[in-house]
Amino acid sequence: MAQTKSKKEKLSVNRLMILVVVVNRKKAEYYTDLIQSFDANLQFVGFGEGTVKPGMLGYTGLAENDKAIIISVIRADREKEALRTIGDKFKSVKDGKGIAYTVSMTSVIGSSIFSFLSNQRNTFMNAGGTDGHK
Amino acid sequence: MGTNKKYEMIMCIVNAGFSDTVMDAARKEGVSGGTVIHGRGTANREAEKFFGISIQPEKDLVMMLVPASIKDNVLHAVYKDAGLSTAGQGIAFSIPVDNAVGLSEKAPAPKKEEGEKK
Repeated sequence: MAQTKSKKEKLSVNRLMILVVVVNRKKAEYYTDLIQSFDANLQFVGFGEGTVKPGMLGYTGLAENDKAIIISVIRADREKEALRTIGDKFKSVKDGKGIAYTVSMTSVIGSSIFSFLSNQRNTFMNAGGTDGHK
Repeated sequence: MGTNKKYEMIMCIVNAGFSDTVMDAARKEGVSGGTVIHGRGTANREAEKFFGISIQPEKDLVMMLVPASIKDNVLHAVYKDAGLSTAGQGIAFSIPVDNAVGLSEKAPAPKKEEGEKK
């Protein structure tokens, strides 16, 4: 009983967050690789367009209007480090400017899904591998 | 971190081709830019038939990161110009943002026209 409780506690230690990064389309791969290094196992990349008027592009430091929207799931304890690094890259990488923000996730169903999203491999193995869902 | 200011993400789903209407409404309230994703709506076909309405499946999703202080004004402006009672048939909602980086502090906010109603 006590052992089961301790396993449950371990699984609910880290909260998850949605990290959204909007960058130039040609930099999408660079940023997905960067985000992956912060234990983000799940990423979705969609393509869109910026709405900045052509005359304003220079003001904002943006070079192109074709954008990639990268939506990732990241552990809350890696969020600050990830945002800081991404923010630094926005300033230092050529044509790499963009915006990034995080939103808290409130619920996730399935312990194996949670372990996958939070990249907790040890906890996943200790908890018995899968949560029984096929 | 980039900023201590509180931000909200406004998402607005409108019929395809109405993203400019949304942005024009938002700009009047001080929003400098956004991102548009083209998508496809998935309405309940049975409900459409029952209510005798047709939902245009092609949609634009407009995402705008805005200071929390102007969120309500932007939502009202978007609702007025591109809401369900207009041709844009838009719905809009906001999501609280925990942290944000990469926002341009230098970008000049659009000036309000004189006598413009807020």
